[in-house]
Amino acid sequence: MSNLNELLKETGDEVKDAIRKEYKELLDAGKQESEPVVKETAEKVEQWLKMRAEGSLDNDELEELMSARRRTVQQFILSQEIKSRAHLERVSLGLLDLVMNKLVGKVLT
Amino acid sequence: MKRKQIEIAVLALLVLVAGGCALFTSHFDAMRQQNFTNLQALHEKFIEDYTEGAGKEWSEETVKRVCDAGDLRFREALTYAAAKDDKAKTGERAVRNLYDQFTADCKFALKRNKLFGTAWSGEHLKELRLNYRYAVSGELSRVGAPQ
Repeated sequence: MSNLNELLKETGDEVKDAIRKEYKELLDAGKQESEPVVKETAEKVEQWLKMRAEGSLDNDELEELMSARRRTVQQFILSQEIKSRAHLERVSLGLLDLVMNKLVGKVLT
Repeated sequence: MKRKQIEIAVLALLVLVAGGCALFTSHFDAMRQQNFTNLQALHEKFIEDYTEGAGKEWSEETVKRVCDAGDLRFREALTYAAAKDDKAKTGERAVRNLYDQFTADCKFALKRNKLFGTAWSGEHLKELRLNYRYAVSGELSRVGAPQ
């Protein structure tokens, strides 16, 4: 049985309402975000919850989509890390080239 | 005096770059990029082949065989990425993410013991395509990537 199934079975109506309210606030906040991947995540989560409510997805399928989304976001974050590291290298080596080729050359000749 | 200043500036820059090496990452690798393309094709085909539809049939034995073959391809890509990586291990981490997803998809199929639903499959394929797109985008951001 999925974790979602167990959670919903164990919680009473009041807790379910509290969870729904918190989800809605988070979703609304996410959709207002300027960072595209955050906005996209909020929109997808909302869509999948609707699909679950309509019965097009079951709890296990919903959970798998959420896990897949987590991995996609992690891949996005990694791609940004790679971009930053590469940029740092280009700038550092570019500075070295500038100093070695332009300034040192002029002083020594 | 001017020469002395230049020498100090060059030395400072060299120290900066040497220290900054820990902040750099492995350069672009064409084979690593090709691996992402090949793995994406394999992964999408797996999902499509085992999604409900006319003429589709569930076979636990066949799914296990497909998953084993896929597992080997991901392992090869992971081993290659690790061999080309530096301390940051960004190449290995990118492949590992996709490998974990493939493993999860295989486990899901075998746990349910039936074909994937069309609604789920449609949404999942969109997610997979995004994940692979980010992986390739990361590779193309590296120093030495084709412009």
